[in-house]
Amino acid sequence: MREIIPAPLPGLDLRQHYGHHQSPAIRAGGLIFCSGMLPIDPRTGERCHGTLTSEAHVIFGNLKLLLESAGSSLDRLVQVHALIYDSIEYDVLNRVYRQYVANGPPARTVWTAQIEAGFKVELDVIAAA
Amino acid sequence: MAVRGGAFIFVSGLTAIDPHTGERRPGTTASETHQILANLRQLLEAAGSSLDRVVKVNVLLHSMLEAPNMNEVYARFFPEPPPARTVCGARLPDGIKVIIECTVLA
Repeated sequence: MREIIPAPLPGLDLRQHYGHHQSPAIRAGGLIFCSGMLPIDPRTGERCHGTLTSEAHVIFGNLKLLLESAGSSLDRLVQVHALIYDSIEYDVLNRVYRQYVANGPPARTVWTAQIEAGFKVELDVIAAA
Repeated sequence: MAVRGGAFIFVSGLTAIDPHTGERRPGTTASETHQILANLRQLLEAAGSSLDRVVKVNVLLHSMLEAPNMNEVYARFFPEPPPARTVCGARLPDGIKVIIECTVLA
């Protein structure tokens, strides 16, 4: 059984705004698989370019909205892939990360990659449904 | 190429190869995407699954400038509604332009 999690707010539908051929998230096998989360204004779909810190705040806000709309939450993350544009920002990422992902944190891998539209950070996550 | 575990099939990062000979089929981002997804469809059907059971796809591109070229071909393969997906640019070995890995319901 594969179930689509629709965008909780119109801005989070990247398919509609940017033509990405993807669903916001899919529930399957007791897990929720989210599409790569980007710093997008959840109401308008506009890109929120900024510092890694400001981009990460927007992303976590969006992730919280998406997971809670699906009956899950940030506490139920099981795996996080954090893509950052430059490894020099690793500590900066960690400072924001800790504010949202508290105790018993999920499995995580961080690496540097080219992120779409020149964003500084992207989160690719799996949560328990 | 793929491992069944729990409710899922986990598929290795696929590159553009000839499915009969295993030889590399280097080309454009679009042609490599096409080859990979054609091979993926075959692989999943042989495993008793299919593209409409794909849950999550990770696409690695040699350059994010090529994302629209990948997306256009990609959209022709996946039936509605499409799986969740993450696309990023990465340094890929041997001049490879596209790698696609995915998680699929068995």
